Amino acid sequence: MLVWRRFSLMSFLTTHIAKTSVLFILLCINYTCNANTTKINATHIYLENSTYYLNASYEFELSEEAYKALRHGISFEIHAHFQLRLKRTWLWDKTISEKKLIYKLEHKPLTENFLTINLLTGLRHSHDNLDAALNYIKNISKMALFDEDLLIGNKTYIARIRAYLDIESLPPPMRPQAYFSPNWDLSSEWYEWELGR
Amino acid sequence: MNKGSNLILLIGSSLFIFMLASLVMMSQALQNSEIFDRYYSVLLILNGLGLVSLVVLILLNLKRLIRQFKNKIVGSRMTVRMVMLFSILSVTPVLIVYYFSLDFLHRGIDSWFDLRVEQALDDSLELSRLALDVRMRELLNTTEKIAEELNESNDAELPFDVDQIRERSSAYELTLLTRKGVVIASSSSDTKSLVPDTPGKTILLQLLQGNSYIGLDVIKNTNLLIRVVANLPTIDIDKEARIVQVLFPISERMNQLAESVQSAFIEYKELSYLREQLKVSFIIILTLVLLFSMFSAVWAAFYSARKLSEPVKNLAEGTKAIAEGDYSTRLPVPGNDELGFLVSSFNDMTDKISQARDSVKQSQQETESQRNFLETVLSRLSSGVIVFNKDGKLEKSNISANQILHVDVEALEQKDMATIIKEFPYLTDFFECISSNIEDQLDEWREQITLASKTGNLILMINGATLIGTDGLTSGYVIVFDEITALIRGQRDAAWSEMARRLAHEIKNPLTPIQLAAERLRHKYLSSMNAADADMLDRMTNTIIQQVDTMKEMVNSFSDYARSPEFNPEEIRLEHLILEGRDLFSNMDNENEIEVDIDPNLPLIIGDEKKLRQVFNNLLTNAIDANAMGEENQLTISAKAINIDNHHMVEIRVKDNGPGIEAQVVNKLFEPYITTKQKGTGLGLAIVKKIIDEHSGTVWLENNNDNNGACAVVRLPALNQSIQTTKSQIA
Repeated sequence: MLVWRRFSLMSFLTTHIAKTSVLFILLCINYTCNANTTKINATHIYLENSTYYLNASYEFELSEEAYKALRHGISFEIHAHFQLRLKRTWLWDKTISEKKLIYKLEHKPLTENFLTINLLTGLRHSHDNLDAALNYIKNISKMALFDEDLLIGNKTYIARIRAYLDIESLPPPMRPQAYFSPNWDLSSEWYEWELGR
Repeated sequence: MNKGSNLILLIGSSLFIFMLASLVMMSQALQNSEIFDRYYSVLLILNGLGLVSLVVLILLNLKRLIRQFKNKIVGSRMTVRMVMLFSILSVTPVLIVYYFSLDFLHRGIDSWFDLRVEQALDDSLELSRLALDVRMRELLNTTEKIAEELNESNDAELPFDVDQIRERSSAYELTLLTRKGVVIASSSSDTKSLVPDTPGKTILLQLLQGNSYIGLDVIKNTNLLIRVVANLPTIDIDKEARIVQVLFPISERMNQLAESVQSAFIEYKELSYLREQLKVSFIIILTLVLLFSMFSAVWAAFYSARKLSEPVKNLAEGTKAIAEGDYSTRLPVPGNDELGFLVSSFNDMTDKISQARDSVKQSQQETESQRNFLETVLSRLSSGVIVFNKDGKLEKSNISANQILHVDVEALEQKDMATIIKEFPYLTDFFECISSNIEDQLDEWREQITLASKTGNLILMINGATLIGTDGLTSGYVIVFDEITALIRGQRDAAWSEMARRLAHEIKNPLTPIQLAAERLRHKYLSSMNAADADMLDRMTNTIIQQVDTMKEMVNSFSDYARSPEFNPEEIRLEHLILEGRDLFSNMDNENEIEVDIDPNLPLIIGDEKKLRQVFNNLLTNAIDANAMGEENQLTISAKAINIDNHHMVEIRVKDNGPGIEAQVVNKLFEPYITTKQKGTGLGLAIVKKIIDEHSGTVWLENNNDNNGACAVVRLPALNQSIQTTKSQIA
């Protein structure tokens, strides 16, 4: 009996370690094979009533795994992160203003709708399908950024924006895997452009 | 407990508490705790880092232990055994618990999910939909009627009609729009809502195709609403096609039930989706707990083993140090337990040994100091000291013993008396005297003996005492002896001088009246007596006068011996005095042939020229008198520089060819009134001895090696040597 237990424990641990290793290797291979489609398409900053506003649109598609999770009641947070940075010659650029537009995306099984919630304003919008919901999220319109006074005439500024799915908004059990899985790497690169007064 | 140990314990405890708290928070995060949920990933990383820290700590401890084990450091074997024992005892149950926990975890999570439950939830959701569908169909009919009604309304009256119809139909909001979504008129029960909710593009497209839309929706943070959108029947071709959207509220109860069903459904679906991830997460946490427990236990095993073996190691090292003679070792007392008592007793023992050692050391130092003191005293003593052990073997001697006995006594140590007597027969009397007194078992004794040596008789005063050991038994014998030859001779000389002085004084005074009386008798009665009587008187008075003259001469000699005229030191060339003496005696006595052999580099001496001249005169007179008793008349005077024990001396030898000197009197000839001659006062050599003594020199007589005559040997210190001697005499 004792021998069996030892054997069982050892085989169990061995199997587990082997499984984890294989899973990790597969994740790595998969990570390199899958291409991330999230990217910023267009941006436009304009001044209105001494405040700068942003219009932007970006591409954002859920992977199959993400869609499956959404359909199973997992809600996501999709961030649009804007930064205004002062360009410096001898030091790193300094972030002088940043704003975030955060949408929470949920699926409602009763109505088969997709609900978007602006976490900053609390406004909810119900969408008949996922595309409609994502379209609503992907198009940023008149996002208030910063006051006109923040910009000083002879300085060079870099405005940049990126969009991403916040893995930390996922339930804790999903996070370790999500950090290493390309299915959940739904973040764009920083899209930068110079900004002058 | 030292600072390092405290620091390690503090770090270990902090790490333990931190990891324990971190694991608790992770566990809370998995249970959807909002506070810890945000920090789940950070906690996971921190736990990983904590484990790595523990592993590093363990590896450092292991490395240290292996190094100690290889270097065979005291206590390392014990520490290894204790670490292994503690580790096995603590890790084994944890591994067993881990195994069963994993099993229960899998079974437990799998048991959450049941097909029947899932089906029930699906059914309840479907039931909710069906329940709402009935209501929705009714509301669709209502909406279509409203559309017909609005179709007939006048554009001017539309706002009023819309409002009226909304109120009548208990709708939340009623909006009339074009098919493109442009609002024509709207009415809402929510007075705060200024902008009506418009249908999405999909709905508009559906309406464009001629179909009505009905669905559940959530609008502007409200509860569930039923959205119904229908086309207005178009009659007028010129008129733009319109649609009506009516948002109907659902009853509060219905809302609650629907939300409850939906929440339960979502939660179950979510759990179902997260089933494997949950398992992995729980396994991760469980594994972290396992590793944390194992590593903590192993680290605690290292720490405990080290703490437990530390006093034993200290004791071993302390014992080793004591074995090597280091009694200053003080061990830290680990506590009030048995080990603490043992260490405390060890410290007490070390203290006592140290005190005893110090005491012995002090005694040794005192003994050594006393021994050195005795050595110094002994070496500086003019008396000879020798020590015999209880077996009669010579154990110790001083330098003076060598000088007095003319033997290297130190080389005779550990030899018994019989052996020494065999090597040095002339010491027989000396050792027999000691031996007989020891055999008599006298505690203290004193005896004077005379030893016959090459240079004459030695008079020794020997004092002996028995040494008593600490056990009260005889441990040896100490013999102290002095050469009192010079002392006795000095005493004898002084006595003779005193006697000579008194004799001269007592005898010289009556001699002159006797002589005068005799002369007067002769003068008065010689002429008046007959020839026979006159002849007799003449012979008698002549005899009296002649004998008185002789007595006067003798008394003068006594007087000269007794008198100590002033000593006038000056630098003297001895060769001059020698040659002067030779010339004098050559002129006086042609029968003797005087040969002179003088070292050309003869050093100067310091002395009184007159006295030294008398010395040479006396010696030459003696030599000539001795030659007169022999067959040949050969006289030799030699002088040379010699070095005896770094003392520069001048040696003068006056050698004759006489009959020599008998051994019995060779040492007595320097005493007053001792003479081998028919004539003479017996003071010549005594005066020589006295003058040479005044010059810090030595003089003795010895028979020639060829048994042909005797030789008088005089040694005087050379100039530098004599200056020092003279200074010391003056001092």
